[in-house]
Amino acid sequence: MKRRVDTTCPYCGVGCGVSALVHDQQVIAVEGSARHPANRGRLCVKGSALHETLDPQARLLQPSVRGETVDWSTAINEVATGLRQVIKEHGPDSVAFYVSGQLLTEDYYVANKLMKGFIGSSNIDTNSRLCMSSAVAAQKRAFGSDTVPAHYDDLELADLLVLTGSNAAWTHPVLFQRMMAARTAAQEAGAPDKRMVVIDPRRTATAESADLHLAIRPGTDAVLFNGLLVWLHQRGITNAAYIKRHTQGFAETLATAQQTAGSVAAVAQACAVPVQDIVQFYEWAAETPNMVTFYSMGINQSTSGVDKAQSIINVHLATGRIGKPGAAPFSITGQPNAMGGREVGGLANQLAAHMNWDNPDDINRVERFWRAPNMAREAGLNATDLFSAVGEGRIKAIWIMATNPVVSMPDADRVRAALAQCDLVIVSDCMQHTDTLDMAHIRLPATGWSEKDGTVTNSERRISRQRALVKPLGEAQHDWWIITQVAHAMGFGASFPYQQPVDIFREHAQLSAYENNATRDFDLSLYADISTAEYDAMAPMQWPITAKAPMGTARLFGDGQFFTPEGKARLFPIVPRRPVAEANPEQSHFVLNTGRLRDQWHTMTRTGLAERLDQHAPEPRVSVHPDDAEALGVSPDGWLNLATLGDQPTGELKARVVLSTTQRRGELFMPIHWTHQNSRHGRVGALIPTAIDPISGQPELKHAVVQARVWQPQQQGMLWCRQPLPNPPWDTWLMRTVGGITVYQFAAERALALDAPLETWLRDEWPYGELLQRFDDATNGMTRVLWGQGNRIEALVWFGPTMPQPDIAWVANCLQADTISAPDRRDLLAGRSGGQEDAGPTVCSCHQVGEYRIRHAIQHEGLTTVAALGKALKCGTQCGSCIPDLQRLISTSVESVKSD
Amino acid sequence: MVKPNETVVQDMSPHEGNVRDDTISPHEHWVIVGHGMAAQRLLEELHDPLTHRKRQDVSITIISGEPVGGYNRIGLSDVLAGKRTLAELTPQQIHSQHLPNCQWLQGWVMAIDRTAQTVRLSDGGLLPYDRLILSTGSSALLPELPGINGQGIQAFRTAADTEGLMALPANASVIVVGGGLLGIEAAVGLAGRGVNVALVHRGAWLMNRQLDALSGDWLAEALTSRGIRVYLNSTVAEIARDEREDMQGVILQTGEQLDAAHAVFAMGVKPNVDLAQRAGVAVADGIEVDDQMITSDPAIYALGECVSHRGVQFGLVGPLYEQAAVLARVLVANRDHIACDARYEGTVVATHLKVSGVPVYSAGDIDPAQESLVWQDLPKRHYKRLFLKEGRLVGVVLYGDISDGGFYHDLIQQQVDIRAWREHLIFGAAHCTGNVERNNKPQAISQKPYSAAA
Repeated sequence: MKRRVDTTCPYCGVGCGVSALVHDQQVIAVEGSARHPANRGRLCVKGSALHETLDPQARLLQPSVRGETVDWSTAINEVATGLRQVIKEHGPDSVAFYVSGQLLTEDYYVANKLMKGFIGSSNIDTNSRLCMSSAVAAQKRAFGSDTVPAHYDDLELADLLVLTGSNAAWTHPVLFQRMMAARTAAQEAGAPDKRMVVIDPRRTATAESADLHLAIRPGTDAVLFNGLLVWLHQRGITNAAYIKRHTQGFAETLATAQQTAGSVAAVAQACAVPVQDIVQFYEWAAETPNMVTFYSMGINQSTSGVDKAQSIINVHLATGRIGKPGAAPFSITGQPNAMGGREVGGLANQLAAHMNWDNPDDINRVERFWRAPNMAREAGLNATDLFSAVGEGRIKAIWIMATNPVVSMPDADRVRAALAQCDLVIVSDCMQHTDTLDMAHIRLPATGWSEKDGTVTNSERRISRQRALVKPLGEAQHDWWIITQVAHAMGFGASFPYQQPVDIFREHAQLSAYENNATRDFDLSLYADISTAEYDAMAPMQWPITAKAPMGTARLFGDGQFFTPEGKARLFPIVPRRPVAEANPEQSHFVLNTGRLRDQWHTMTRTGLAERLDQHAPEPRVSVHPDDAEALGVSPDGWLNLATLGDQPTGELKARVVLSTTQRRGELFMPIHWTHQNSRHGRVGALIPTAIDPISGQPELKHAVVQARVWQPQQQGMLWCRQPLPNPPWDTWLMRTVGGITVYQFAAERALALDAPLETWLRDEWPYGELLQRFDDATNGMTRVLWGQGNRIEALVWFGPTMPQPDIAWVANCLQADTISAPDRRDLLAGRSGGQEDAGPTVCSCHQVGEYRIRHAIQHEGLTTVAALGKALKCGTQCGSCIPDLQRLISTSVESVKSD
Repeated sequence: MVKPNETVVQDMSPHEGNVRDDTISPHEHWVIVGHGMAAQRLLEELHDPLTHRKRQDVSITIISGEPVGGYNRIGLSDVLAGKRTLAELTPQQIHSQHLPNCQWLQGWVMAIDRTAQTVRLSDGGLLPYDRLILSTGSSALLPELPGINGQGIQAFRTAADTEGLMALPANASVIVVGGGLLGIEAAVGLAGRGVNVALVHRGAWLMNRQLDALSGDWLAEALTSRGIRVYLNSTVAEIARDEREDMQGVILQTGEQLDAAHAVFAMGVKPNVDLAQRAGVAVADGIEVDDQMITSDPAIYALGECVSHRGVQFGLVGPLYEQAAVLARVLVANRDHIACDARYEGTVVATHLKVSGVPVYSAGDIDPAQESLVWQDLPKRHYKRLFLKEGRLVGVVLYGDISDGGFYHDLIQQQVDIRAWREHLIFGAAHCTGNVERNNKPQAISQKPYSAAA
């Protein structure tokens, strides 16, 4: 029976509603949920492919301990015993959880409670540290609370949209579509122009759509916003009354801004942007009270991320442009439930329910609420420090849930090394293979999207239900269930009585309301007694959700009341800081920026399973300005080897270049998605040294300085085969799945597979195969080999001095079939269909002209004599022995035309 | 068979008469010596220009040594293999039905008197000519071996040779000497008739002028599977005969004797140049002709297998036909005393055969020392090798799938620069001529050599 179920998308922070069509235990289609306020029926390409990513083959389906498949009770016991043992010997701070914005709020809540209240440590951090911890810290400093004040409608209501550090067109496509649609609608209605300014070192797809693009020098955002503050103040646009009544710190903030960005000329110079462009931006900001500044990773992933966000907030506070329709600073998260994680206290420097370590009353309150026997008293280690502690042996057991730090962390190779020597690595994941899972002693199969059931919060504070659509595969269990079972096994059962997600959500809502009295922004008091039925039917709603605001709260701070002790927002003087690493162009140093591609998500564990998402950018290329490429001497399809600087290089990466004038000179861009599962030397995280914001602890993932050198592989090629290889033999490679066939793209510094070794290797890998076809261009060092048995192909290998350009999908399609058609077989080593129509049985042997070809000529080209055919097709012009056949074809074909 | 000393006159013209007096009239008489495929094609090529204006100012006499002229000699293999009959090879009598003033004689030309512009026929008659066309063809080479002269030894050149082979009993044993195109066709044709065949070839692989080692080996395997015993690197040292001079077999240079009562020699041909040589016409290996097929005597032309053009002789039909086309235009223009720009500038020779269901194609220069592209499908026994020189295709060997033979032949002939699509070349016309729409790939050959057929 088919059912429609409303749920939410598991990808970005937009948090779109998804309407899933489910047939028995199969999600057969998805579409945007028209009722969900975030997307109103829209979905991006990633969300539209959700049902294509539910590949049972890719799932982790059974718990295992040190390689042995075990049942759940054994696995839970092993985890509990392991943790207890370490705690007993080394204290609670010797264990850590590293969790994820992929978890649902309920999962998150239980993990946080177990660690902070019962194990007695705060060493629980989340991959949100890499995503928006700077935004959190800036909001807490400025507002006294981690509050996103805005509503998505503000993106449409704003007359000036400033996007900084955001390629929303690719990373938050549905919001970007909403912005663009609002601009178009305003134009069509003859309303005053809605303008968009994009601030980004790269001319991204987002920047292409903007009215003004400021391609600033990386890391100079705070100069630009300090300058804006000065400009607005000089022109009397700052709101003196608002400043006086609702803020503090303006004078010092302005003074510092004047010192650091006192003139447009100074700003232009610091940002490396023409003066007139700066002036244009400032003028528009001056004349447009309805201004939203939308910011994301380009601001957050920085050693001065908190200050950059603060410089934005400073401008909004000084002009009173906050908490109003169409006016706000607007931090957008990258993950589907980064906000939910913040609500439960998923970061090491958060407590729970927007309560804080620096307030002893908060600690006491949470302790009482939880009846916590081992309440932690202070903030724990942030992600980078946490993995350092693992590497140094201070943390001896770590439980990683639903995230892939071996790929995503800076110094990613160091993270791997740390895990490799850790006594106990527990990993919960829904996927069978990830770089992190490969390091685990205990593997716990978790449920994934379509099975998980709970709530998520999007970037506008909207809590939505993510619903279970199908039963869990194999023995997969919900993360909250796994953590709860471990809590029970550790002896904390009474405090973890959860039977279903609503039990957890109710407690979470109760904690948010507990002794709140409007002192904390995060308040779900209306849900404190929520029933299962109400929970199941819950509509998407923005917190606070209270008796006073039973339909939720669209915007905060419209009343000028903030959650600081004084009730006033804090402006904070910002001295702009450059990124820590400086490039020396003389030594081929480049600034490396990183980010998402349009159709991929994080480390591709999910999006990598949907082939159509692979087509936009099937290969991680390093974007380089053509002039830099020329200076380096790298050809348009050539390779660069990127390496970290310093005495102890932490990593290297090899990638082909893509020449792009959207890059500034001296800067490179690499996508973040490739991992050790699908590449060698494709993990950009291995290239990024650890440099963190001193306040938020967020790493500077968008500004690494690397050395670029031309890499000249002697051999490049491709391999199609049916299963991934245990040990791909090349220096560097990428792997993906096309049409069910595994495709490798590889390069080798020295020519590897010459005759005998190639066949030996093929025979070792596929012993039942034999050489079926081979194409050699010895002069050019090019070889293509088809290996298999009969009509079943096991492997197709191409290599040569340059990367071949076959029709990869066509070849994969041919290979997937158990029997290959004759023309396909002939074309396989050509790498594309010849597209030649079957010419039919040969009539003229001398000139190889087939019957169908001749009939076509007779019937459709007016060639109705032997001589005419001979002139056009050459048939019958040599030995002439086919002339009677030609005459027969002419008479029969002409008749058939007549009878038509 | 007609003996050389007889001449049979077959009157096919309303304007009969052996000897004409041309001195008082602008009428010209052309004599064509030999009626093989080249001469036949020449007649066909002359048909249009000579009939177009209903001109009556040329008469032609064609003299054929064989009782049937102009038949399709290439088809003899099919006849031997039982796929066609001799009658099917005989041309439509275009010269008799449509060409004005054409007569056909069976007989032999014994001598040419270039001063008198006459030829002497085997019956003693004299035939004057205004223009003489020599298309005397070639003869099979017979090596000088002990026992070579005697019964049991024959060539495979003519309809008569073919009839002789077809008359052999099914259980006969035949040695075919020569593993070239003709020898293989003879061997396969005979084997197909149930004859016990051994094929003796002195090369390291079959068709070693047209194939490379791998394709030659594959071909040998294919013949073996047809019951033909193939002896490579083997030469015949002697014909074994008994005391009655009956043939017993051949003795190889290794001393091994292969028993058989018949041997077919297909070791190549030599141009028939004696007639020309005796008349003092310049002869190298063949009768020397310029690009208009004119010999050292401006009244004498030559074409076909008897000529040497730019130092090259020809054994395949393609170049002969091109020569015929040029010569027809030259003859008519010369007759009319007008300039003619027709030139024969040589031909890239292509060979193809289909034996045992194995099509083989070869063209151009296949020197193994050259750069080459190689493709093979081992289970299907398909093979392609393309030989390149300075960015151009110069030679090709195809085995199993020869459907792109014509495409490659044109590329060789037209010397097309193939560098831009070298990677696709071996996959054939469909991958090179714009049939495949790909933005990043070359769309078409500029000269579109295959456009007519693709």
